Amino acid sequence: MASFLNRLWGRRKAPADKLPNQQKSDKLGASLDSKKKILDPYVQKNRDIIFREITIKADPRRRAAVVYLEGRVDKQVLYEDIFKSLMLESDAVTLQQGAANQVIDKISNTCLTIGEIKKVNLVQDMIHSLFDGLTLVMVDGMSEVLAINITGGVQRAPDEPPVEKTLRGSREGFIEDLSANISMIRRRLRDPNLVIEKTIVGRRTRTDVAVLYIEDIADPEIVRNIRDKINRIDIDGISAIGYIEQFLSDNHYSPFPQFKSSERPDKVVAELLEGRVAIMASGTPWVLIAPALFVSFLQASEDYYDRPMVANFNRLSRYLGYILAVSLPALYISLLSFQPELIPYELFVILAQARSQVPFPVLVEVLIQEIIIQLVVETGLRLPANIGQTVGVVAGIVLGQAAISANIASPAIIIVITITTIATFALPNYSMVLATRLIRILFILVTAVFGLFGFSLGWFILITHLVSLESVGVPYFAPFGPVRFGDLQDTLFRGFIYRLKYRPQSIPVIDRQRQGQQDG
Amino acid sequence: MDRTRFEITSKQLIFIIVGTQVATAMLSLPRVVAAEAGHHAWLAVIVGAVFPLAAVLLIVALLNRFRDADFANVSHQLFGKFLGTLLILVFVGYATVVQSVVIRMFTEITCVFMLPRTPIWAVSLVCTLSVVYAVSKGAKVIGRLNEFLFYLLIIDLLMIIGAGITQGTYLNLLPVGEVDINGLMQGSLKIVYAYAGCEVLLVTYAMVQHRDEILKAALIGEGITVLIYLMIVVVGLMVFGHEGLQFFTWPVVTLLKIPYSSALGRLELVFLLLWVTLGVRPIMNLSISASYAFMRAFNLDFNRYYAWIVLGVGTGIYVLSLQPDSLLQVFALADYVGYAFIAISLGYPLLYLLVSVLRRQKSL
Repeated sequence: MASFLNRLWGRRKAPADKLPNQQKSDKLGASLDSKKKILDPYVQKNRDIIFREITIKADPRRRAAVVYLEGRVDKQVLYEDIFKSLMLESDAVTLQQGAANQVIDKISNTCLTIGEIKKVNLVQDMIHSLFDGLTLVMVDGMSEVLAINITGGVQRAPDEPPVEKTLRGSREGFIEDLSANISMIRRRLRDPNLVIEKTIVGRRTRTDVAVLYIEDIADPEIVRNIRDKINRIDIDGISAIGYIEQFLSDNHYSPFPQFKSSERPDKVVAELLEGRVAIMASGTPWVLIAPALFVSFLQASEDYYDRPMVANFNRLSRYLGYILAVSLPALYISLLSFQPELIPYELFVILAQARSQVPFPVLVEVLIQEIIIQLVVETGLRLPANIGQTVGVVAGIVLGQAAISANIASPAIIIVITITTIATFALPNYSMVLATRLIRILFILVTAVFGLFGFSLGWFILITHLVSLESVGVPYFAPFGPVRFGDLQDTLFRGFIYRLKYRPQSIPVIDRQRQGQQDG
Repeated sequence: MDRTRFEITSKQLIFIIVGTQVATAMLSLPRVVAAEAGHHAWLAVIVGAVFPLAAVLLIVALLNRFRDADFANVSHQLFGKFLGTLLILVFVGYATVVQSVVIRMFTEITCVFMLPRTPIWAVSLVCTLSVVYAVSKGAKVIGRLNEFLFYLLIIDLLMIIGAGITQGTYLNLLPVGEVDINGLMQGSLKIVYAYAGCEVLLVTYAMVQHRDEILKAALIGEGITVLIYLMIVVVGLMVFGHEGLQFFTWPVVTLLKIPYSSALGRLELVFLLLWVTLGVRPIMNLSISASYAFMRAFNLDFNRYYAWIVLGVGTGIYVLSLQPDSLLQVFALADYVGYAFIAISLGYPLLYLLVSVLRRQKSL
């Protein structure tokens, strides 16, 4: 009855993750039993919490306990450097010298051969430390508890990034462990000015999130903006960095990714050097990079690793790929249904003959194929690699051929859709691939009604949209709109590395100089 | 919506001025001018440039006198709340009418060359909607858009120059001298319609970040417009001659039908493909001026009402654009718009300046 009334008045019980208010900021009691009492409800419910009472060799009368989460700690270190050190190797003379209230410091200073140890004296901090994976060492008579970071457990080894493959770049990809990812960056970027800020996001998941930037390059305004936005996130939990990306976006009604994500440390280092900010979250092998520009989604790391002549040819073909991916089916519709006179006569006859066998209007024909390809791609993503391949072959070759023989599709449309699909996947960034697929459908619809005019208008609206987007306050479509001539040497084409003496103008930075003034 | 969304750079002002002027009118320009000025049409382009030039100078001279150079604010300061608001509303009304004429012209060209079987109301509707979408994003976006589209315009212009060089002969421009003064004057009056658009400076002046660069930017913008028009008229004359020009409604488009290319049967369609995005620029620029002036006139909250006002102006344009019955009527309206342009772009700053000088003397 009482609970019903409470619900009626909108009163809720305190959520389970929150401790009762008076307990939250309470200091820990001195006796071991009082601490045990606080932890008892958790220990009873969770079998992975190990509460182990021990006797310290140096001070056998004093009770002590080690508490940790099984599976979150490196057991080798736990046994060698905590249990063994305390129970077998601690030295009585050093420990019993001096004031009794310094025992905890002495344990920390003389017994534990571990780097990261902090002292905790609040109830809330103790519980959070335990669930964050830290190992607690508590001693009777001391209100402070040692929280020791020996987190370990099973981790995936760094692997070649599955989505962002490269031929000449590094083969190392990020993993799910935040500190391992940070170390990958540190190893490549030994600048003392590289700053790594850490915070925790998610009331329940308590996910570690790190913000990385180079202090004397990145614009403090952008860093502050990102930091504020991350601190403002108040959610029960995030399961991947995609959550943070959506919280940080300026424009939610847009298919375009406003943050670049990468799974390659070499790419992140290059972006940090251009004055951008990287955001990492533990549990996701992807790193967010902000601010992101539209052009950066069409640039691959190899563009900078290969010789400029070759790299530019590749980059140009990628731009062509983008234009085809967005507009080829739309162009096909508008040319065939509205402006056939633009097609050379001989070709038009062939197309018209094939079309005459198909009972649908061009729009329906295009949409059918587009949907089928969409499904094939979606299926291929979820299936194991070898089955996915089979499905691709069956769908692509067998279905395509059958559709033509059955006069459901004309050969031309199969060619058009295939080229479009290939072009879509020429884009180096998967978020951009997704955006492109959606925009393509809109283009198909608008050209089906307005022909080439609709095609132009579609591009106009697309460009208006791109120009209106901002990524952390930086114009997204720069350096095209607003035009920044200085940056054009690294957009459609990439200039020679030795000539790229300055960082891009489009991204605000403190220090624009990149190279010395002498010609290389 | 914070006010930074209504800030533009002086560089963008150049492109806004070019963008508002160089659009639909450019396609029929050689015919209209040559009808009066004959083979000296190019001279009429230069003489006609006096009007917008005077307008720009007057507007800058006027607004330089005020610390807060917002058009609505200046109107209120000089004429009081009631009369000031009335003057702003007249300006908004004028801008709406000009836009509706431009959008109708635009629609007509689209229907003739690209969509012969699509009803005018449908084409006009999608144009208006795209404009409303762009304008609702604020002046910053409009500035960037104008900047980007200017470079597309250059591609279009290169196509025209190419056709002019390969198809035309300079003999059509001769003899220079023996100018028919009367015809020249008539021609320069006719061309004024093509120069309509620089009055957006009245409103956009307050949006520019560095005030000291405004005059320079506006003059550069005017200069670029004159150059583009000069080039188009010269090419038109070179290819068709001033009498030949009279046979085509939009000689600049017809011009591109001549060169034969094997892959693209109709070069002018490629030209129009780019031009569609260029044709909506003046509508966009005038629309944002009208909406902004309206918002400021009644001091409305930008967060709450801006999108609605933009939509309202858009509806007005759309309804008005469907009023003319035929293309001939649209061309006749375009002439009136030219006269209205002179009245507004010269009359407003002159009137304001006069009152401002008088009132300040009184108060001193």
